[in-house]
Amino acid sequence: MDVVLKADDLSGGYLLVQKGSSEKNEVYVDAVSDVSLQLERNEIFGIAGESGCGKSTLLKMIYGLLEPPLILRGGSVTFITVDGEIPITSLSENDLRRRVWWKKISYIPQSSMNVLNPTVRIRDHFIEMFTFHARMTKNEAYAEARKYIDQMGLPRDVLSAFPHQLSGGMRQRVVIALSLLLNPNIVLADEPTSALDVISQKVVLTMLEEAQKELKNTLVIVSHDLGIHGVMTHRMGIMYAGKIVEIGKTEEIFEDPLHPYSEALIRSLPKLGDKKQRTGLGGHPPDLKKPPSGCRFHPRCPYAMPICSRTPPKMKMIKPGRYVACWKNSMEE
Amino acid sequence: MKKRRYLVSIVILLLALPMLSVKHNINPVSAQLPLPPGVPRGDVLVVENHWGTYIDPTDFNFKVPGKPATGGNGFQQLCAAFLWYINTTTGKPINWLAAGPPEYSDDFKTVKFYIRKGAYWNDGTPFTAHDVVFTIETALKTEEWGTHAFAETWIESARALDDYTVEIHLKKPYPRFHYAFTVIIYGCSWWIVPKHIWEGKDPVSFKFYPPLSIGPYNLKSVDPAGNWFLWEREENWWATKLLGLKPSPKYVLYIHQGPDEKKALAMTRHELDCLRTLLPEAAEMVIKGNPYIIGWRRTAPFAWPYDACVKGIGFNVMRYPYNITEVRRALTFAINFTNIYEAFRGVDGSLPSVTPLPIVPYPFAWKAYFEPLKDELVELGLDPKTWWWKYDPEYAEELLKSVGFKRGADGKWLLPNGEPWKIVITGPSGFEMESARLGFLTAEEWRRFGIDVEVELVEAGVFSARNAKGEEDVGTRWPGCSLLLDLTPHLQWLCSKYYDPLAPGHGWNIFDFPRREELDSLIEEMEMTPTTDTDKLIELARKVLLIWAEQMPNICYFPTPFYTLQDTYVWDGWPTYPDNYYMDPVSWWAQHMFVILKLYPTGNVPTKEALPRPGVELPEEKPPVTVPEELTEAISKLSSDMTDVKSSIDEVTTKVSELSDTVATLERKVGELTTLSTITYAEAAIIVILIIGLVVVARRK
Amino acid sequence: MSLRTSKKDLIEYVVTRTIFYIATIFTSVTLIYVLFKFMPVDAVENIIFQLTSAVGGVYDPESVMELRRNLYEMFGLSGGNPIESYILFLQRVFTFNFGPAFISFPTPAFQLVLSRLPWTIGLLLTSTIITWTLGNLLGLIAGYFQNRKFAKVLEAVAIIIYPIPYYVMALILILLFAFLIPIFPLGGGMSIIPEKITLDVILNIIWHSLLPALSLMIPGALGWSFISARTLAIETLSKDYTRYAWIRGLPSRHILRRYVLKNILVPQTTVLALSLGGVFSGAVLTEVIFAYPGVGMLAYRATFSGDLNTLMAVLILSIFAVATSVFLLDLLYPLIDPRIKHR
Repeated sequence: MDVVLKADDLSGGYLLVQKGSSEKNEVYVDAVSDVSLQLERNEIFGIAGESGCGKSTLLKMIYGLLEPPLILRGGSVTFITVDGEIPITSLSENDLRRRVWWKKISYIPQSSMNVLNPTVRIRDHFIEMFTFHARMTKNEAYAEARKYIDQMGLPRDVLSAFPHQLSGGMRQRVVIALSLLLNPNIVLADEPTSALDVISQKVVLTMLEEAQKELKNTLVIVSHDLGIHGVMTHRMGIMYAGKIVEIGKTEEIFEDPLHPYSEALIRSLPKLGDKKQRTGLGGHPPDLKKPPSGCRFHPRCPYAMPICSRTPPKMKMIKPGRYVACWKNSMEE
Repeated sequence: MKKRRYLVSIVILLLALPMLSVKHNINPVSAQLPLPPGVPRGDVLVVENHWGTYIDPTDFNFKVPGKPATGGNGFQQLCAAFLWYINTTTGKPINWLAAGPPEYSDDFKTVKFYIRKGAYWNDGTPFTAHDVVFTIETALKTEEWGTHAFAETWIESARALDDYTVEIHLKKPYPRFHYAFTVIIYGCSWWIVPKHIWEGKDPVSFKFYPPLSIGPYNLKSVDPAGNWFLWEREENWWATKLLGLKPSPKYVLYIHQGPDEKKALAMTRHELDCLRTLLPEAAEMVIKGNPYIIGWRRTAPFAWPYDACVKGIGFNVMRYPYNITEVRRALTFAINFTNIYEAFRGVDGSLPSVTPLPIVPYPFAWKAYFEPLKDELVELGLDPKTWWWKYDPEYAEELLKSVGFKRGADGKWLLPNGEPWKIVITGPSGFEMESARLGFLTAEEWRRFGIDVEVELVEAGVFSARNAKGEEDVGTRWPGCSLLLDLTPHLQWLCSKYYDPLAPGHGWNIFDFPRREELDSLIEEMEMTPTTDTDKLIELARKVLLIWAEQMPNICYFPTPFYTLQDTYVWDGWPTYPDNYYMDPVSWWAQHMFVILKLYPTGNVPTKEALPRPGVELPEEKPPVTVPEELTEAISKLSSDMTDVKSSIDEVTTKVSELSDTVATLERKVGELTTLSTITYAEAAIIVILIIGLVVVARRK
Repeated sequence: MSLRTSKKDLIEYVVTRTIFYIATIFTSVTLIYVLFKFMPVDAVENIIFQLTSAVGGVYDPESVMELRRNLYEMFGLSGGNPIESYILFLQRVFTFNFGPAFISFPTPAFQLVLSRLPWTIGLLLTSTIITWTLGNLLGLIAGYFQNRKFAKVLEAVAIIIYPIPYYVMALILILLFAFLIPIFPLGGGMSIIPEKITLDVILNIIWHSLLPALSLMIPGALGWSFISARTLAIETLSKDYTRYAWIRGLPSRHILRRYVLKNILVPQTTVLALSLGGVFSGAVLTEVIFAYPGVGMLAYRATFSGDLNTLMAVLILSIFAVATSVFLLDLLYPLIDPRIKHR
């Protein structure tokens, strides 16, 4: 495996100060708990899970974007380049901004509809990236931007438009184009297709896929929509309640989900020709302020055993590249 | 990067620019006064422009009504041509451009004015009867002139019999015709215009700028913003030749500095030599802060007690229940006068001069009217100890009950129809603060008596309109103004023939009461009596005053004390009572010219062209002054502790005068230091800014 | 989807705005007309009051009655058919003929106002622009460095200064800088005899106008302008697009300028335009306290004297000024805020 980034026992969450009470009541939301995974070069990795399971937080922590009240509780994120390792979690934000962000790793935030400056033309968004990160002059930057827009397959007159004149889908494409501008090694995309209609979704995903094929970077897609994972990702990780429960090749997970949660997710997908009623999981995800003891899935797990409520299962390698954190699977050894 | 540096340097420059302008103007005592370059403070007399900002300061055509006051810019004091002035201390006329008193025919339909020979305008042209005739004829022709109304009413024709005699034919007999041409109170609208300047010009739009002066000063420059006017001494003045008069100050500056606080600040810094009046708080600031201050008296109490109008409360007799005489008299007796009087005691011990009648209690008026009428007034309810109406709430209650008023269950007064009695007093807002205060004090008294009273303060425009249209119950008005011993012009408004339906005022003219006919005929008799027949006039006026007192159309308290402060730091020779009482300190009246003619420099500041002590007396005698005993008794009884205060003030004053020499030298030293320190402040500020700028620029790297 | 705004849309926009502009002026002018009819001030009575009661002057009562009638005629204040006089009024207003000023008869009221305008515009234009610029800059910085000590100090200062009544602030300034440390004059417009316009004269005028300008700028730049700019800045800083710029590693100076400042400019420009429109009515309180000879002082005098013509001139002029600046602002908006131009 040609690892480009690894997360080791990464833990982080939101430290909230509850107002209204006389003593300072601090509550910690355990959003990312002991997550370990590795990203390879030239792959599309997906992170799937329900809303609120911590996947966006995980992405932010990988990027190094620790905006209060998000704090790093433990573990580390290391970015591996040809020149050496860069410890993302120990660098200061200034260093990250200067050396890492956008040049090596880029980030596409959730709801990219509103991330463009309403008073600035699209072309100026591109120009400023070139001017500041690549130290070009304005004219050089403009020429580059034009070339780039063509490359991306976006219509030329997008450049002189203002964000509000573009449709949601077009804006998303612009944001994606921006994220790929400096040819980073890793592109982190947080729910790139939610709030889009199906056609636009297809267009966006195609754009991402083609760009990845050409630039051979690592694309991480976070989405609750398993359908997207099915068509796009090479490998994926399933996340539940702040923990990674299963990692593996997408095909394999779909074919044979090992973790009870993955199983439930896959089973709930509609299949062509299959007219049977879909079954869903009972219950709802736990409150991350007070997560359940032991395995966090045990309250909803149809295979729960006494040990599940006592001890959290460790991530076990079933075969190379396939990992699962579940007592049932360990037992079956 | 480059852009930033430019920006920083521009910011530094912008901040430095005001510092430049500041440094440019630093200059001791006269720093704030608009004097021509090189003119020392000691050459200039600084007088308050009491009017305020002149909207168009180059407009000297004051014949057209609506213009700002003629007493704020020095026009009437230093420039305008008047035939007669009244000396405020005696009430007697001074012949100025008229050679003597006017001569009336027996039927009072023709009058001759004799012009002083040898007087000339400051451009050398002689002042003659032709100027007077021209003024009269222009007034007759020009409807837009304020004096047109008077001319239309009284003058048939006017002609010059020779260069120095004017003959005027009147439409109706008018023994007082010449009063219009006399400066009595404040000024006079019949100032004479120079024919050779005004001839051929449009009398309405002609601005008369710069005005050709016949007084001791010529207009040198005006503030385009309308706040100050600078006058320069005329070296070849006609009165110097004929009467040996020449004023000492080379320049006179009339300046408006702002609200009372600013005037007080200026006076404390010796940047204002005399003013009209200040509110008591501001006056206190000046009295405490400037040891050179004097007022009507040389030592405290400083206030001038003889302002031309008696302030008080006016009843609108067109409104119920103020049309009932008993009600008005009851309201008067419900007032405890001591409360009102004491409220006007100044911090320096100044007290107002009491008067129960609508005339100012000048000493000469006191002897002619107040003393002789004492018994009758006491019968009508005067308290001889206070010399005001007695405080007699039981009697007031009797009077009210006799016309049907009742007390309600809560003790408050009810009208005869059973409704609660509510009085609304209209007072002035933003001007004449003392009158507003009188309104509040009176309201207090009446409230204590059991009436619901509200005071409503309104702006000048509304104040005048309300009174004229009679749209109020009761107002803090002052219809009792007087100066002359001949009370005809001061009392004739009481006559019913002067009813104007457009402006009924408080309706006195159409008010009917038993002695109405008697009052009217008395006034008409006064009007037909020549001004020389003083005894008859006094006799008739006494009768009118008694009828007035019976009816009490308004409650007169006193003329409010005016803090006419005068600064003796730069100039002295100011009129003071009783030792140097040649005039009253009325810097905004036309008569102030006579004060200016008596001033001399004290030597505390350097002078250049100011003349030392002028030596010649005014062209008429100084009047003997006696203070009536009654008045002294009343004053001493009411303010027995004032003597203690006075003696301690005297002690302090002597100590102050001992120290004044040291103070003067110290002041000079402080002045130098202040200049130095102010310059250093400015310089320090510039240096600090430059350092900050340098640091910012350096950090950019 | 068309990215180009059609010419038709633009023309429609301009026409709509123009109609609003005219309607605004018309309505306000009519309101003033009605208001004046109800004013309890009588110019004639005021003049007579000034002549007689105010100074206690001696006047023969018969001529006073005659004078009263003369004045009513002179000032054109006697009755008339209301519809006719309304139409006459409209005619006069739109030709800027307000008749003669009562306080300076027969100078036309409009001319009087024009002569005072330069003083007011000079003082207020500069202080408004400086206040706006300074307030926005300070607010921007204080909003960006929200938690730093100096920003908190600035905020505290602003909260203290903001509620101080204007009169008190002006007097404090006078006491400090014209009396205790006498750098500036107590008041007035200028104190040099202006024989010709020299550098001295100009510097003198600036020197005189500094305190009044300061009294206007301090409560503005450190008061309202600062507080609103700071609030807007803080709000803009939390917007998605600002965060995204940060995420993209753009330098903070650039973010401040392009993302924050540019976006707060739109509402703040509205404020500026309205304040500029208000310049024409003068700052009455300032001008009275500092004896500054501007339009505000003129309006003050006119109100007290009941000089309806001059007052009307000032009011109508200021209506035109405000309505025009709003109109111009409307026309300029598309240039500043692209969201409006390209609908």
